Amino acid sequence: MTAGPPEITLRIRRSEPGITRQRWESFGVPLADRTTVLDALFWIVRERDRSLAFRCACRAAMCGSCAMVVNGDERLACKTPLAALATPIRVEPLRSLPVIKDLVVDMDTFFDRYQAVEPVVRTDERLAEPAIISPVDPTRLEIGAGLDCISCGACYSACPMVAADPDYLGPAALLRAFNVLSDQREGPEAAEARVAVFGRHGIWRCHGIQECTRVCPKALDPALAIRRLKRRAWSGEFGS
Amino acid sequence: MSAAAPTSTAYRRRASRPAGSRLELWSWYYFRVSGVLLLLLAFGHLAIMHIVNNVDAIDYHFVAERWRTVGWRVYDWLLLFLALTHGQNGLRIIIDDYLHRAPWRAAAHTANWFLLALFLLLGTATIVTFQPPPAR
Amino acid sequence: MRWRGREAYWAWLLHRLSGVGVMLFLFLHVLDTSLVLFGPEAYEMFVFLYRAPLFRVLEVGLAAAVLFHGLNGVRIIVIDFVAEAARIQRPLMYATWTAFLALFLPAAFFMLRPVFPALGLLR
Repeated sequence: MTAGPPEITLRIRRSEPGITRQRWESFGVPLADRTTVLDALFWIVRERDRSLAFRCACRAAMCGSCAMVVNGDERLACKTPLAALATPIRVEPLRSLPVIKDLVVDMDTFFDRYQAVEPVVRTDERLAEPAIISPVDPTRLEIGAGLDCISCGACYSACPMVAADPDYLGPAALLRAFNVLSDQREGPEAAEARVAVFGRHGIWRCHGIQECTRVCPKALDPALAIRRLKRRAWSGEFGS
Repeated sequence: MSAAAPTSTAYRRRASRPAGSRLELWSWYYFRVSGVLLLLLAFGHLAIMHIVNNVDAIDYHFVAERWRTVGWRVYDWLLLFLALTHGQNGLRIIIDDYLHRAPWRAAAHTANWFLLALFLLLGTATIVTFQPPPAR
Repeated sequence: MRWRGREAYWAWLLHRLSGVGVMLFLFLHVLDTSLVLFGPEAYEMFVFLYRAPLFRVLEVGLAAAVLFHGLNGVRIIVIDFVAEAARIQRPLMYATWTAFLALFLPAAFFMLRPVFPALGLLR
């Protein structure tokens, strides 16, 4: 009798709020060399339960759709290998966002936070010519370090202050706020317009817990951006 | 005539403090200033009371002797003031973190200020009005 | 800078708990000290209580709270005001814990030594 491929157990938190009770469901999934959590979820849908709901798109850690909580930590399912995880592998939806079904959460609140910080550069209307910005300008480099955000929601889910304060803007929006507020093409009024960033539910709700930086799948540092915003609030300028 | 394109150095010289909560900004700064002072005062107080001396040695006579010197009264009052305001600021932050519904927020913040006022008054009254017994 | 450990999370939690703990003690302490206004008997009633072994152990806990809160506070100030500190957060955390142990362990020893017999630590 030939042994099948090795199996690994996934415990998935299932729920349809208002329809079914929340429950944990276990699935034995065949484990190949580089099987990821997303591979496992696809296998489950094909071979075991067509009703399992999850989001994904690019499968290449570029789109941010498949962020979820794996063994207690926010991860992108498409780039989380099963073999490196302690079993049974617990898979849950992102935290602090309403669950629609199983691993799918309602991202509206998350994107509302972006709207609250005016996430696009407000070019100073007095500028007649294009801004001249050296690619190695220190401020430009600081902005560049935060531009790779894919809005996956991992940092938002991981932040205990997001959990504590429903109105807190959260690390992703504040990282974006830092990027636009640092931009030389903005006029001084731009900071005045983003009062929420410097308010009670903005940077002052951050206490340096660093969970955002710890879980970011793109290795960004929202905590650092928020510290820089605090220094900006104090000194009126950005330090590096 | 419209403004010339900003260069990096021109940007760096711009200093405009953004609008936003002045209370939070100053509270953030006050934590750090009071905290550094408290490092000296509080660690010193711990050392004096528990390392140099011991609870065995601390009695009415100890306090009376210590507070004969105005310097110690000043020290203790500074410690009292800074510790209470530093701590009350922290409690304020905790209230803002966890209490969001208006009636609860108002009640908790009121209680917080009340406690600060009460214990600051009580502590100040103690330090200022205590008269050691006349030396025999 | 990324690292997988949750040191900063625990440091924040302990900073918050120690702060609240010290604040609660401070309220009690202002109260008990105010008893000097009522004479030796009133004041020493409380001091007598503080000499009991249980309270001396609790006082060691207080010392731990004050020491950790202060030293972690120094770490926070360094990270907030020194730009380069963002790159050395883990060494800073180790330094904080080292400084804490260097101050706390001797302090705990001195504070508990008088009651070692009562705690069953000396023959």
